[in-house]
Amino acid sequence: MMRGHIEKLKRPKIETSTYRNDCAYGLRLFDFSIFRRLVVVALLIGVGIGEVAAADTTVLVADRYVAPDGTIKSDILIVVANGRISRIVPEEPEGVDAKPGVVDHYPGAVVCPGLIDVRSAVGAYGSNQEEAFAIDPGASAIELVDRNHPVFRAAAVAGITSVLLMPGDGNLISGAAAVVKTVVVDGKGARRDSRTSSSRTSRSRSSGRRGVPGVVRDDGPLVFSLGQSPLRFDRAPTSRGGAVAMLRESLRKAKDGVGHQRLVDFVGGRLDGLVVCDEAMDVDAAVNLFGGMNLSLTLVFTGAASDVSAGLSDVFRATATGPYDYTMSPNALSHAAALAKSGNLVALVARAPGGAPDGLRVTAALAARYGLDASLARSAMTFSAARAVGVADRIGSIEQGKDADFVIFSDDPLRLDARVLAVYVDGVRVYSRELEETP
Amino acid sequence: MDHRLESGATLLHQTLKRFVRGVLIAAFALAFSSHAAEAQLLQRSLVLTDARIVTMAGPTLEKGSILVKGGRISEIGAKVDAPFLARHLKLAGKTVTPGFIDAWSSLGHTGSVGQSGPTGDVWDSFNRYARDDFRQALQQGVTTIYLAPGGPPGVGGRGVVVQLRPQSGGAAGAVLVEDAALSINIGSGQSPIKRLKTFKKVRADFRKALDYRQSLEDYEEDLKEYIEKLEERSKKKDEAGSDGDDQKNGDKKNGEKPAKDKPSPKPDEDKPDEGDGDALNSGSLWASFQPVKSGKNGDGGGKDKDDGNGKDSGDDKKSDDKDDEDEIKKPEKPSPDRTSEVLLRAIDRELTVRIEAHRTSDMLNALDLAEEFNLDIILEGATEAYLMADRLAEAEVPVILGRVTRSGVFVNDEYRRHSASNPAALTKAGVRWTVASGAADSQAARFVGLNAQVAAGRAGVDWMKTVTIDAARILGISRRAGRLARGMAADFVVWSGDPSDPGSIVEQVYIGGKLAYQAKGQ
Repeated sequence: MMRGHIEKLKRPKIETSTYRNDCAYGLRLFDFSIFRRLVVVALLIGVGIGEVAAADTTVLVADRYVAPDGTIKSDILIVVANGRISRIVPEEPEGVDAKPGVVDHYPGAVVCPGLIDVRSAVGAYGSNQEEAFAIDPGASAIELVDRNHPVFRAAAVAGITSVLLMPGDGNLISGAAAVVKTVVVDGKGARRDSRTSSSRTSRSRSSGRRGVPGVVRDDGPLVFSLGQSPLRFDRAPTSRGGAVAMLRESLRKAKDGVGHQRLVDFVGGRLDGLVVCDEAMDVDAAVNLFGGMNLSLTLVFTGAASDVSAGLSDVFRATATGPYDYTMSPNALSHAAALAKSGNLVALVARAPGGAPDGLRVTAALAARYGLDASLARSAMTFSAARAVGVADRIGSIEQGKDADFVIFSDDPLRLDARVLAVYVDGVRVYSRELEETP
Repeated sequence: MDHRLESGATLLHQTLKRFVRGVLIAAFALAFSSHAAEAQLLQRSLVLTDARIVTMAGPTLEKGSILVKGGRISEIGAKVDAPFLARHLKLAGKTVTPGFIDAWSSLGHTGSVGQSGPTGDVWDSFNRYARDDFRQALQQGVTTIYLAPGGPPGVGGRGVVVQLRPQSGGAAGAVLVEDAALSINIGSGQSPIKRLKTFKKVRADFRKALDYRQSLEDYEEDLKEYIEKLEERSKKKDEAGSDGDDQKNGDKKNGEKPAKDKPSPKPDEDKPDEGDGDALNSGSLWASFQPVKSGKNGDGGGKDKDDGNGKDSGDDKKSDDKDDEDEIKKPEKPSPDRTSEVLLRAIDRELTVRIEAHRTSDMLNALDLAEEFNLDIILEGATEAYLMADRLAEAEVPVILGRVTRSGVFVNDEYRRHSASNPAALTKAGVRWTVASGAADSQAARFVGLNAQVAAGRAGVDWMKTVTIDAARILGISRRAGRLARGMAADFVVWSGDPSDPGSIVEQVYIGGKLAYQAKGQ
């Protein structure tokens, strides 16, 4: 902490790491608003009272940002301290109580919350599901993470700062998923920006594994699967009917307090869940099974959403769909729009690393082209995604108190020509295009 | 009051006049509404006004107009003179761009023609009735595609440039450039050993084409020689013929002598004996027989013999002449080799060669091939081009990138070293490049614009430029497509807003000045 402090004091007070967007916004550097903002920064540095851990404080200045509702708003100044967003100053400089150590200035750029892929297998090695039992609530995806896997870095550079890692979806109950960050700040395998070589103490805020850096939660949601994937010839269930019957039986027992603690917690409403369905009939089965139980459940569904989208919001807190690809039919590409129209909270998934790292943005851009409102599309990879997997209290939006996970895009993240200029995880810049670009 | 009344009357008068004029025009239109007339006389000029026009030929016009006449842009600028009867299209708030070009596509492709080799023309496997696919492509602003033949590794078929223009009877697609390129695939999902074999085969095919050319040239020469010889012979014959008439009596002796002198095959040796035996009785009959036999057995013997016997009768002489020609051996024409003929056109740089290669080793092979056979090449795919961008720039080889979003995990050898920095590296090195759908899937052609956004975003260039003017230049159609300028074909797309904005939709597409697509509810 101290070392970092000294190191930062050596640096010029206003960082000159100015990122330019070659196409349109380069000239805005000389805008009046920029000067005004510099004045704000100067005020922050000079007049700042009630210093909050000055060494760890970073101030981010940008012209635009993605608000929690997915809209793009202009002018923001974010004060980051201790890896969290300690202050957001949309316009007014008054009342800022942080003394910044570093100021990062991104003229013309859009600050977006770190993107979240809620159905991924990033960093998971080997077979990540139990072959012998169809009902395996004890499995935990967090045990499978290979932190040194290069796909983590690939995802981070593409702007994905958190992923939901599933323990496979080939069992009726596959176990607990985990939400992890793609870069561990100050953990094993952490990569740091050249300027932030200071060590950082890990915070103990994660709801699951306390004190483990890079883990947002490791206790769920509990993953259920319906459809073809849990059906096998060498163990039950072998048929769809059998699958539903087995699952119903497990849920009934759990209601009586019999079975794995996670399942008991789930039916008791203390643990959220996630159910993977391939087809409309699987969704119907899920609605029959879980409907009326008043659970916190997210549907992951890639089938024909327009067939079933109505009424889903009564049973599921959110519906995740995707990934979308250039080769899909217009009907399939309109699913997200159909779900949103029926009042569902829509999250989009990229299934990294099977899909490309930029697959999440491609999915969102395609969904937007096929009728999903642009702000909903942005939210579907940030705030809605975080809500869909129960981590909205920590990530997914730029709000005070949230983790300081940001992606700095050169433009609207839905524009596929917008570049990732920088990525921050827990307030630390973990990627900078300017510093790291290797053509 | 009076004044008002008067003006009212004038107004009425004018309205009436307009009405009459309208009726006249309608009558005129009806009278001439045959197909030819429709195309010629009644293709009304079209005037677009108040639109934001992204010309790609110069600065964007924030509020511009276009006059379309006869399928071409006859005027473009802040204001144009609209001719009488022109159809007006007010496009306030809309953006007009050139139609997008998918420079490496398989839209409407029903199957690979690559199997048939260079003789295969991809147009033969184009489904002109894939209406839904075309509509979806138009819906994303795509108006022109290069239809790639596809196919297994090796020298494949020939591609065409197609415009997604509606045709009569529900079909679509018009060939803009026939024989646009010859396709070669030396890098697509092969094992290392197969890769070597493939390239060896490709090179062998080109060598064979050169050999074929050589054999044709040899043939031409031989034929010339042959004709000369024939002429010489017939000259000689003419002379010999006049001699023969004089020497009729001495024939027999002359004929026998050479046959005996020269070492001839057995049958020949036998004959003179027989001939001697009943020379007077059956000599002429035998003689008419003889040449055929001797001709078969040995040229030399027969020839001399014929000379001897041929002069016995007029009938025989005729057949003898024929034999003479055979003996000045007529050169054999090499059997036509259509494959080599196509490759020769490539060698003569009449046909561009598009080589799909992804790995550096394959790309280097492609450059070698181009150098060895003097080919005009374009690289397709070029996944690892960032590793050798300077080399590509030096060779001045244009590159057409395929899909630029790939995971790099769970992929085959071609894409294993896929890098997001590929477009940027090409731009930096000064390589001419464009980005296309990559012909992997017929459906993907729609999103060539989105793919271009990703690629151009990484390279820091204007994405729309890559799929319009850049693509047109690489395809060699920049005089016709890719820009909105005077004299260019009127291929343009009307967007509801900025095409970069994900919320914008394509409202109308015009190809050759004709409406090719109209969004529902517009």
